[in-house]
Amino acid sequence: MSSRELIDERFADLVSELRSARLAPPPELRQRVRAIAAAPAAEPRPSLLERVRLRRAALVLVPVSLAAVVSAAMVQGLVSSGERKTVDVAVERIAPPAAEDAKPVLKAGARDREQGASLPPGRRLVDYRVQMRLRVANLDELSRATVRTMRTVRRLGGYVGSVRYSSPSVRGGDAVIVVRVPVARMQNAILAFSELGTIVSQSISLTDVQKAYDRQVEQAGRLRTLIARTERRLRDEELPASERAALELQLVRQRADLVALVRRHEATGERGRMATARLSLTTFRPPPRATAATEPSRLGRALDDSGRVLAKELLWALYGLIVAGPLLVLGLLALGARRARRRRSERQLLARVG
Amino acid sequence: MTVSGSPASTAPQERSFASVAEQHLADVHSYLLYFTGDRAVAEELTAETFERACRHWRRYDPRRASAKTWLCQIARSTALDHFRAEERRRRRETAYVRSEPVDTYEDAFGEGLSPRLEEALRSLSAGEREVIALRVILDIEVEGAARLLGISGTACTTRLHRALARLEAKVGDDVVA
Repeated sequence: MSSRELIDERFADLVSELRSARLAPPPELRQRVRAIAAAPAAEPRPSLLERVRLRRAALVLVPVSLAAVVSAAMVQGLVSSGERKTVDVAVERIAPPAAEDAKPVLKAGARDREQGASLPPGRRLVDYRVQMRLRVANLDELSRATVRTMRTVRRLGGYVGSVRYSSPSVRGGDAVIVVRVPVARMQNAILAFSELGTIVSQSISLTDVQKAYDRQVEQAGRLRTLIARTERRLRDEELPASERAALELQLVRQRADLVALVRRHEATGERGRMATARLSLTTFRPPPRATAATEPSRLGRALDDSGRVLAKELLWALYGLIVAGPLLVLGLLALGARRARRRRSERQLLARVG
Repeated sequence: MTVSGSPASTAPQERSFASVAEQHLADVHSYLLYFTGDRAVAEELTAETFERACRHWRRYDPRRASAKTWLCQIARSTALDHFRAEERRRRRETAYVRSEPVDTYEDAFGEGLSPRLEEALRSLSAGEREVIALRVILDIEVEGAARLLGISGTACTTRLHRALARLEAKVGDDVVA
């Protein structure tokens, strides 16, 4: 549609007259413009920002950024999926093994013991406690292991505290044996116990009791001194009857305290000399871990990790948007306001210029 | 006067700036004549416009606007700069400028116009004369003129209608007087 057709017909005469005017530029101006056009264009070299068009830049930058983000996620996924193996091994070393083929775990346990997981006590008195859970193949093995445990303990100079053996069905059973073994031979005992079956779990705790033992020795010495002093005073024949009665009562208490202290002292010494081991033997197998059955391949783990990294990146992008969003809106508003102000000032300027 | 409202299909490399300048000199001159209402200023600004256009010729993208519209955009920017500079100068020299005689030319808006139309055009604001120049004299389409003025197509049409109505009223007033 021609521009002319859009102008109101009411102004046809006016428009016609306006268009009929001859508006040729003067020859001097034409010459001047020709001279300008003939001169070599000395356009200043546009800056990089001027040369790069926003749309073109966006067309390149957006896919490149997306590719970078996805690549970073994939690389991270691949790298971490490779590292998982080491982590799993570390976990297995402390977690109960899930299947029969847990020999490496047993070896790891033995290595731990050798490397000091079961620290040999020194000359100080130590409360040495061990808890071991072992799995044996069947009921026969359970019975044999129980008997062997008792024999081993006796051979090492210890004794069996308690035994609880139960086999609720022909399919399996378990036994709990609490034994006391001289601390100095506890390492031998642990090694012997670990041969009974597959170690499912194991915990060792060492608590120093030497200080308590020494304190009890000091307290006993003080009490003996007090008793001797009380006995000396009671030997005095001129002692009044009431005071004598009070001293005799005091002496009885002091002797009772000494007896109790000596018993505690002996118990502490016993704890420091004899380690306690609680051995659980079982034929039952824990249900296989669901994760073990559906353990994903490395590719699966890589994809899984990549997804997690992408999710994190998206989360960060969202955070960024939340933080930068208001600023962006403010910036856009400022831009719009600036443009509106410029147009208004132009309009006012053109209205003023007659 | 040429009519080229639609974007040119040829790249700037294919057309020399000299040929474009030759082709659209009259358009730019007419536009600035209407815009400023002053023949001397219009000639000065026309030359300045082509100087600027020559410097930026490489940046001209025929897909975005016709050469005429592009040149008119530069001309408008040049004229607005001139108006602003003039306003600042007038503010500084208020006392002098108030008594400064304004040069008036006969046939300022082209030969062949009736004196009453000349007078009526002179009484319009620069903005009103500008839209008449773009839409009536240069025959630029609504969209192109609107883009150049930085307003919507409807606003451009309304502005033209008001300017022509006012012009007609002025012409009528002169006849009655």
